[in-house]
Amino acid sequence: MKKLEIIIEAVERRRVCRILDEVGVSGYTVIDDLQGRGKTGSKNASDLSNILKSSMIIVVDEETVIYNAIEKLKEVFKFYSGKMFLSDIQVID
Amino acid sequence: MEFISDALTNFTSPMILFFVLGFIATILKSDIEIPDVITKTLAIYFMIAIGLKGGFEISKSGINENLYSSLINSLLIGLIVPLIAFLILKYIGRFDSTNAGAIAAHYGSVSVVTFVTAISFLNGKSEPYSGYMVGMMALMESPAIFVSLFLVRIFNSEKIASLKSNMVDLLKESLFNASIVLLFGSLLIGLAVGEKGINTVKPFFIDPFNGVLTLFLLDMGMIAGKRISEFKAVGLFLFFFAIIMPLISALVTTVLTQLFGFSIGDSLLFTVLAASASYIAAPAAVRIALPQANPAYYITMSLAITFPFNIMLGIPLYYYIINLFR
Repeated sequence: MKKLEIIIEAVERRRVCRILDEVGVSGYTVIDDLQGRGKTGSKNASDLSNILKSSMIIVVDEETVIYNAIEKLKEVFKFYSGKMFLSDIQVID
Repeated sequence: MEFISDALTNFTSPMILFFVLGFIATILKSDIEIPDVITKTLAIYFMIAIGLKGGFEISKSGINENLYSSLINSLLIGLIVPLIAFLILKYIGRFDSTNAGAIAAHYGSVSVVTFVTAISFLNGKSEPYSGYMVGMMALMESPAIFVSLFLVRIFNSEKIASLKSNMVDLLKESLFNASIVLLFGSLLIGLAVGEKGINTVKPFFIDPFNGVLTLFLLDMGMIAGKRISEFKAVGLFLFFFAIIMPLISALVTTVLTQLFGFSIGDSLLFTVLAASASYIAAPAAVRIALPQANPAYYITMSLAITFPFNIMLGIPLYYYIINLFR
């Protein structure tokens, strides 16, 4: 099993979730209103629009499904700031 | 002079003073903090409050003959303002089409809070305005965004990257965003429930309007203050553009509203709508449609320069100019 953690600008959260649905992941968890700092400057969440915020989407699934998702998600990362982290994981329950 | 006394009265109103307090508090790095959820709730409060009141006013007065000319005026402003902004940025500021279009979209679209502040100014002057102006504001949110994207498309040899795959999100964001749905929805509800219905929600949505606006502007002052660090990225040209563009939009709109023969109250609201820059709807739509454009430009300009300028000086100035024409 693999765990993919995706941090992406909040405006693109819907698109990322759509891609995950398309590749058929069994489920995901979304955390909104993330703050932090990266190469493209700080995201400080305190704004009325969504553009200075990030969201995190966590997916755990079979390796093939996850790699398939990563390929499709690369398109989003061409234009928007964020990060993807991939790790091996053991699901307990 | 009337303008100076109006500007002073406006500037010394608790609403504006709290905006300044928020701004200064952030610069002093004070730890005042208003949670994000509250900011959003307050924004929703204003949309419902002005929508309900607008709908109720229409139910009282009926739709007057100016409604159709107001619709035409809204669309004209949505077309002319982003076009002027785009041409200035591209040919005088020498910006690339993408950034010019991104900024033009913000200046063509409207700011709800500037509109709310203008309503509070008009209430203070006991100057009447039409209930359907709230509907005009909702109508004016999106056209300028699409006009600007169209301009970018015409002036850019390469097609707008990522737009095709993002079309669904863009349409959702610009046509059915929270403010459009809430404004139209509350307007219709206000229209449907009439006086009896309005009286049941009056103690919450109408009476405390200025008090809630004071709290909200304190928060807006802090949000604007946080953008100060981005002023360097914005540069001198855009800094002056963020002040001069509202004046150009205001002059164009004053002439238009004079031609259409609108009342002083409606003319001021149209002028404020044209002069204001969006910082809720447009940034999200532009970030989706034009990811290559620099958000530091448009967010900082609309939030930290144009918004304070309009609420502190712009509104009394536009009011003065409109009265000069009468």
